[in-house]
Amino acid sequence: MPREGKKDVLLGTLDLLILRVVSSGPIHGYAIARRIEQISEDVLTVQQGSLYPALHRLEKKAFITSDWQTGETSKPVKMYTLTVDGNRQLEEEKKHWQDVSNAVNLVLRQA
Amino acid sequence: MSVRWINEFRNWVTALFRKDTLHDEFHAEMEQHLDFMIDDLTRQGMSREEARKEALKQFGNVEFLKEDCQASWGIRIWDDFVNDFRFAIRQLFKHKVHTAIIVLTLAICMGSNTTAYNLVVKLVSKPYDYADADQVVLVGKKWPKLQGDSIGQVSIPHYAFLEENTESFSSIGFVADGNFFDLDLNNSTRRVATDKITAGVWDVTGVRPVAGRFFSQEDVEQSSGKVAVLSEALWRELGGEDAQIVGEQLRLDGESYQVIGIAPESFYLRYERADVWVPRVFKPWEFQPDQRNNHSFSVVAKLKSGVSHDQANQRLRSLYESFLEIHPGDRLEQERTGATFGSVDINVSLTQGLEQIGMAFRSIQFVTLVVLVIGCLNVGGMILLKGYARIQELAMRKAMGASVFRLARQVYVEIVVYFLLGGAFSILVLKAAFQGSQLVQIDDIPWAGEWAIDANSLLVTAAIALGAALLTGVMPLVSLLRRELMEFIKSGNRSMTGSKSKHRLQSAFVISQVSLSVILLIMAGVLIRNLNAVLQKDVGFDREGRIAFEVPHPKYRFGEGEEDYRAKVLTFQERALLSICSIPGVINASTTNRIPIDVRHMNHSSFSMSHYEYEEGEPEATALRLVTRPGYFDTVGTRLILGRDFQETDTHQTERVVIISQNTMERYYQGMDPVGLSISIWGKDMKIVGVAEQVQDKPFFMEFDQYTIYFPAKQWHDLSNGQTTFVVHTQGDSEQQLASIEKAILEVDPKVTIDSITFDDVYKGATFTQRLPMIMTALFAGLALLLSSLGLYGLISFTVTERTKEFGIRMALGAGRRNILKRVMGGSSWLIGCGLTVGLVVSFLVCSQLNPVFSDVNTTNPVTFVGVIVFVLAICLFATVFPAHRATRINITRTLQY
Repeated sequence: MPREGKKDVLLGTLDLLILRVVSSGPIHGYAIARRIEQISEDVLTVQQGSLYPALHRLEKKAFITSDWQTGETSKPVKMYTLTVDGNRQLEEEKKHWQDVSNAVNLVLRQA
Repeated sequence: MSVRWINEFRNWVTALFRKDTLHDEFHAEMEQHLDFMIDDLTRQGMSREEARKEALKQFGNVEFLKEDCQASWGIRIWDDFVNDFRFAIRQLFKHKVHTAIIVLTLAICMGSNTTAYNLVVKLVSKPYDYADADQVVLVGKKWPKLQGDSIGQVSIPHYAFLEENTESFSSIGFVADGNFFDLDLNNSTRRVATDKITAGVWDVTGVRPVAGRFFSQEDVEQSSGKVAVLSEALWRELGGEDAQIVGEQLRLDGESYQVIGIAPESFYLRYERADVWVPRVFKPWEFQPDQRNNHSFSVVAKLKSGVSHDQANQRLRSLYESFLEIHPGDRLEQERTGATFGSVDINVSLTQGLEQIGMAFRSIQFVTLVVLVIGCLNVGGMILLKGYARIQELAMRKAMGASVFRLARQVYVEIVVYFLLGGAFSILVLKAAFQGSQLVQIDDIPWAGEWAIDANSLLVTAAIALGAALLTGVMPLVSLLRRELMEFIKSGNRSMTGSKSKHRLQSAFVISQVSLSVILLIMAGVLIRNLNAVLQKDVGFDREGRIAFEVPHPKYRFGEGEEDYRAKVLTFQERALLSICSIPGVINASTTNRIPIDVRHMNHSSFSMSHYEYEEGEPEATALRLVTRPGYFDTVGTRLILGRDFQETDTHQTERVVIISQNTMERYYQGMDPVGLSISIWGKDMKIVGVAEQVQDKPFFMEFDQYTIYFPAKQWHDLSNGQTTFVVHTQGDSEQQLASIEKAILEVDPKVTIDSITFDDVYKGATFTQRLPMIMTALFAGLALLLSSLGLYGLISFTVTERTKEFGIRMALGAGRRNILKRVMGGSSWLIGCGLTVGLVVSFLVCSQLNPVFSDVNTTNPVTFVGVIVFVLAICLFATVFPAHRATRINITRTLQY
């Protein structure tokens, strides 16, 4: 449930954010959402309704893989890892985002 | 990029197979997510219980999320499809009667149409399946003023001239067909049909040998023409591959030929299939100018690429002009008959002169087309009704958010399932049709040979029916789109009694189905009556107990020339006749040179009469030549109207005599007694001694416009067509008589070959163009009737089933069985009446147009019409009574319970 002052992740950037978070090392779904919220200082929020379809979509595209690991708790947890393809995709999307945000900033500044 | 795509596809496929695992993992992952959330919330100070509640509240509906995830994997479409498929199968089993009707209709439709199409293609449209058959032409001489566009045969000097001037053709070949050889099989003799051809024929037809090779011009020269190509059938008969026949010597008519190759089964040149092909070697005298009137040979050629048929014909016309410059004597004939060279597409040539055949088979195709339309109506109608029966359900689903695409897909999956089943069953129908075609002796048609199913035509028929089904299948959806959903949902019980638009459509289906079957049946009736009328015609000879034995007398054994004929052929005939007549049960026996009504051995000569002067431009009369022995007319049962039969005393030493046919007398001797007058043929005068009753000499499918002249066998040595046909009138068992007569002939000369056939079989072969369409039309009309009664039954019973609740209420309120019966029957009989009327009016209009075509019968004869009306009414009654009866047998409490 989004709270006051929080924004849903900008359309189209969720994949980029997920790839970036996963690139830091194996991580499970809930943690991905929390990390995005933490790092954005609670500005961005990721609902499970968009998080899991996105994760499955990226997994199908073979940008990330998953495996069940027994971690801190006794239950196995589904952990996601970036693949080589995913890394390449992350670089591409990062560059794309840079270009777009630079362009948008340029317009905002000079218009 | 492509690697990514492959990875993605591989993951998709894996997901399809790991669906259950994915499902479990998804739930485990959600469970894990909830656990983390609860942990977080407890850490913020909530109790475990409260935290769980809050987490569940935040999480929302797991099922929606699951669907979204499945969508990410792309396996939802597949799941939906599988569901649709399952649903379709369930529907099939739920409505067994309707499934059976639709599947049966489809099977019959596809099966019968494919059969008919293949038959017509094989027999009429494309009898020759040479490589580039559209560039292969039959070249010949034509006489436009006498025979229109049909291409006749040529002489050897004509061929030689054409071969020298082949600008339009890339290759040209010469065919002398219908020859027979005695094949020496050591202890027996087998007669083999032989085509004598030039090496060019192999190039023209582009045929490939099954084994060995075909002869070239060099082969012919080096072997002086003593090489042979065998047919695949004969090759197998002699032992096939194992016997190593290629390269061996065979004795044909006493001479040795080297077998160099085997031609495939599908290869044939003219009407009849040959067993052997040998080179035609020309003798120098055959090129003499006086040979140019011996039009006994065919020429085939292949057009050069880029040369059109018209261009070739133009070139051929100018070639004939050049030919006339060399032979100015033929100018007169050209003025009179318009004679010239011409060519025609090889696939047209076969049926060009046989219009009746083409017409008969096209009418079959027409009838099957009507069957297809009725079939489409059936399938379309049933699917439409089913669609409307479910319209409320569809409306409800749409209201709940299902897309039209999703609903349409479900309808279509169901239709496709029907078609798959129908297609599978149509194979059975096709098999039955092929077996059936053997029963009607399709093999008797000389050039039919083997015919196979062409998959394309099956697909085309399936596509047409599928189109009809898809079109009707989408109609309920269209009404869904057009109108307010609520209207359908609210209408609730009202749809039980049938909505207006559905009712209109259903009526249209019943009416068109009834009227189409009426039209088809009446057309079939007229066609069958017409064909039957032809069969009832008096052919001028009797068939009962008559058997013909064709015995060739090849030159190598019987010699040639007058002396040999008298010494060998006539002696053989006399001895054989004596031997035959001594068999108990033989009433009469004689000889001729051709079997009446048979398609073979048709040689004509023009004649003039002592009392009759041809007018300027009037074509000379030509007559079919028959050479008979005394007693022939008695044996075959032909009456002599005037004069006498030939006698043993009519020999080469006495005056030449002839017997003329009835139509000759009627045309040229009106009011006169021709007996005693003289007739002149080949410049020789002969005395007419008798007039014979008119005989149907040629098969019915050939134009019969000529006269017949009979010659005594003892006076002519060169008119026998190289064979003697013994005709025998027997009593008792034909099979047994046939065998003992063959034995008697072989006792006289053990080395002759005998081809025996009863007159009944000859007649069957000669009338196949009448019998086959008759059988086929009757068969297809029967199928159409079956289909439309199935359709009617389906439509009416469906409505009755739908109205079960209504009937239940009516009966609960006190309506009697009779009342219900009347209600069901009343509704349908009005529709059937409409259909009958429409059908009768249309067929009356069509039939009155047909009168001039079918001159033999009155096409608007009330008998056919009344018969059809009674028949269709009976079928309709049958189709309504059963559902109506069922309607009155319903269990009131049960029907109202649900």
